[in-house]
Amino acid sequence: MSKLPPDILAQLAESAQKFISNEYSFTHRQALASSTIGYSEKHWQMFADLAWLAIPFNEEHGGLGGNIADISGLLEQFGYGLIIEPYISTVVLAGHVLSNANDSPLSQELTAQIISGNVHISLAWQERQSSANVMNIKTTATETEDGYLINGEKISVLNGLNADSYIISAQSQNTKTPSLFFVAADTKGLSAQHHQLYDGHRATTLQLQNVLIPKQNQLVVNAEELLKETMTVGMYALCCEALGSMEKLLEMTIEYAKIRKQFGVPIASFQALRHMISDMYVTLKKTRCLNEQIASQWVHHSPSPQDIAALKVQTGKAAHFISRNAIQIHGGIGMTNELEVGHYVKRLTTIDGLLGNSQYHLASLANSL
Amino acid sequence: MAPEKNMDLGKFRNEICDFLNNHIPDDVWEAVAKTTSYFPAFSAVMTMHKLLATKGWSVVNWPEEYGGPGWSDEQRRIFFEEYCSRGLPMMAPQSVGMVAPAIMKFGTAEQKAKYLPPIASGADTWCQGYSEPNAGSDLVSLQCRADSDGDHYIINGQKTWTTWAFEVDHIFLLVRTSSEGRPQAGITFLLIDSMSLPGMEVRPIIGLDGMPEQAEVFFDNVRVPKTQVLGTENQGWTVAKYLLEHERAAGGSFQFVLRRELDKLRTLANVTDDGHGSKISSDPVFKQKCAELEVDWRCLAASENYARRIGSNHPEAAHMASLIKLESMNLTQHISELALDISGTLALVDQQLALHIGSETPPIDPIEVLTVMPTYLNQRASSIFGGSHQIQRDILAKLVISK
Ligand SMILES: Cc1cc2nc3c(=O)[nH]c(=O)nc-3n(C[C@H](O)[C@H](O)[C@H](O)COP(=O)(O)OP(=O)(O)OC[C@H]3O[C@@H](n4cnc5c(N)ncnc54)[C@H](O)[C@@H]3O)c2cc1C
Repeated sequence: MSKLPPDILAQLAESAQKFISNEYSFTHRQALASSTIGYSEKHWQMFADLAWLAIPFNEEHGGLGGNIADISGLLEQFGYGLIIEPYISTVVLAGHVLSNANDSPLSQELTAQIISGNVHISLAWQERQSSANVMNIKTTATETEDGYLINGEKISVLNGLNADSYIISAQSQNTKTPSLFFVAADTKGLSAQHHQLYDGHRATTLQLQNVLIPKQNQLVVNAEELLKETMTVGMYALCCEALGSMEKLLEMTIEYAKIRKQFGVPIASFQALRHMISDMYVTLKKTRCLNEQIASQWVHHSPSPQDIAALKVQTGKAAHFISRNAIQIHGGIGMTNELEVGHYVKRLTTIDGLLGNSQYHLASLANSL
Repeated sequence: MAPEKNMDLGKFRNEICDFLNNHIPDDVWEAVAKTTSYFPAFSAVMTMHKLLATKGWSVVNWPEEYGGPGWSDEQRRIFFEEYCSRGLPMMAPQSVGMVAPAIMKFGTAEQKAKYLPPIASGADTWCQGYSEPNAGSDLVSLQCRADSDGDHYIINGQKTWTTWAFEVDHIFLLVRTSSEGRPQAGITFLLIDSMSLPGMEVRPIIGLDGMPEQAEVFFDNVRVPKTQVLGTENQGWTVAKYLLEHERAAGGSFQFVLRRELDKLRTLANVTDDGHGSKISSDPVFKQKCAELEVDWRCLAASENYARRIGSNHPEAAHMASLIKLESMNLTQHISELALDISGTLALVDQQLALHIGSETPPIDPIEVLTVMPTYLNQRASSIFGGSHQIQRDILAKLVISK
């Protein structure tokens, strides 16, 4: 349940809607996606000015003191407008770690920098063999006299291209538990290979070869709980974004079915398509109900692993179902890169793929029942 | 090659295998590994066409008098089995399986002599100019006009979704030559000898996977001699329908293509980590989904075999053609969906550069993942082209309910 007062939430929602309808045409979005950095620094500064970057952080650290439910409306708008700015990686994932890290000068400083829009930080948790199991970590951290030596590889690091620094999970050789370390992007021994994803977002493969960092860069010891909770928060954020994208896809599909004529009538008059559209609506609505129910209970207890897995499974399934039907109802035109539809489909397909897709979480659910 | 009347089929199979195993150039195998669409890389299609033509195997479904090898049904089946199960690119259907049968049936002696031999050799290539922006499922509403001007037509209008229009050198067109009577009555079928006549323009369409495959084709006062009509003026719909039947009855080889796709799926599962120390291949959710696809595959194979047994003149032949289109395309899509499901984040990286034939960009490890996302995206078209799933079901409903 939200922590912020309703008037602040309403303001946030309104400013997000305005931003999307006034500043975020599809052509503009596509231009940003193919630009060198893949997003707009101007927008990011605006996010900071509108306090969007401050929502989930504690007031004593300069945040608005909101919680995850307080960003759900914003994220849904981001999904609706197909926003490409790297909010989830910096604010949600890295932000959540920092909010819950040791209350050190370093983490306070980093939080302040995120809120002001001055830095991007990416959480590097995933590895080649780990699939979406955040505890499957081969990267090691060995304590030495000068600090920690980190070795390993991280994949799918979101927004790694623009990250000024990374938060890296590694198996501490001392405690045999995972810890989280702060590593500046220009640290010796760290090399990055940047990729573009099919949805236009960026992700990075990191190699860490004897990366030496000072002792105070250890942000969290025994990070198991925090890592899992961060996954939960990140999964929920993705599910909120997906709601917005699915909503828009359904709207566009209904709109098109009403204007596209074949056999002398709008294709929306064909019963086969009417049923498909009804099923899309049902799928979206029940996914939204599940999402909102989980959010409303959050204040009392974080969702159980089964609940959050179920939400991610359902959101992924819904994303695919709505995407596939949206293309089908559009016919040939739905297969082109020129139309918005396909880009919503690619974002939704990517959202399913991040932080464990429906297949992964269905299997974990199956094993937990 | 004129086969013996009761030629030993085992020997026949060996000859096919020997050729396919030993004489296919590397760039074709590279194209096979990088195929992400129902339409493989055009260069590889034509390399194979010309190579098979040297053996007399490029047009195996054609009657002998036009250059077919004169094989029995059984020999053709063996050929397709060996060919498709290696993932090799099929001959361009628009040329070999669409326009050619129409020319054989409706063409003049001159048209047959002019067009069929270069199709068989691979010298001429064709695309299909049926669909228009406002005439997709409702094809007969097409508006691209051909006005009479002495012994020529003047063509004005647009075609769209024309697969490979920017690769080929010929197009067959449905045009409107009359607006009298039923819409079917005023359609004429034209054979166009070039893709760059004065007034013609081809603009590639970029697909969801980022690659061009279809195109728009524009006609602005394009002059074509009336001798280019196939059949007779205003009777083009008869030709068009005959050709669509050929398009749908693609020859009973989806089972071999999809067998290979299912095997590839297993290979992918064998190299993909489940995150808990094992491979996806031992994941119970994957196993169940895969087992379901195996059942679907067996049904499809049996259906194709049945359709082949009853032949094209049987009262159920049309039912089977629609059934096989629906089921083969469903299975194609479901395999691509499961491949995506098991690849997780690994499939998300856009690797278009590595997908080009002859590319210097190496694919990201594991290489099996390279084709997963573009295939998934591209295969969404399988339920749209060649008569959408909704249209196929309408056709079937008419057949089944009126029975
Ligand atoms: C990859 C690809 C390759 C193609 N290659 C070629 C080619 O080489 N040459 C060529 O001429 N064309 C080609 N096409 C075009 C193809 O034939 C058309 O896309 C197809 O006929 C559908 O037409 P449309 O795209 O205009 O969709 P529409 O006809 O507008 O259909 C939109 C939606 O409405 C549904 N619909 C339409 N009518 C009905 C109905 N009566 N009842 C229920 N639902 C209905 C459709 O199923 C679809 O879901 C290709 C298309 C694709 C995607």
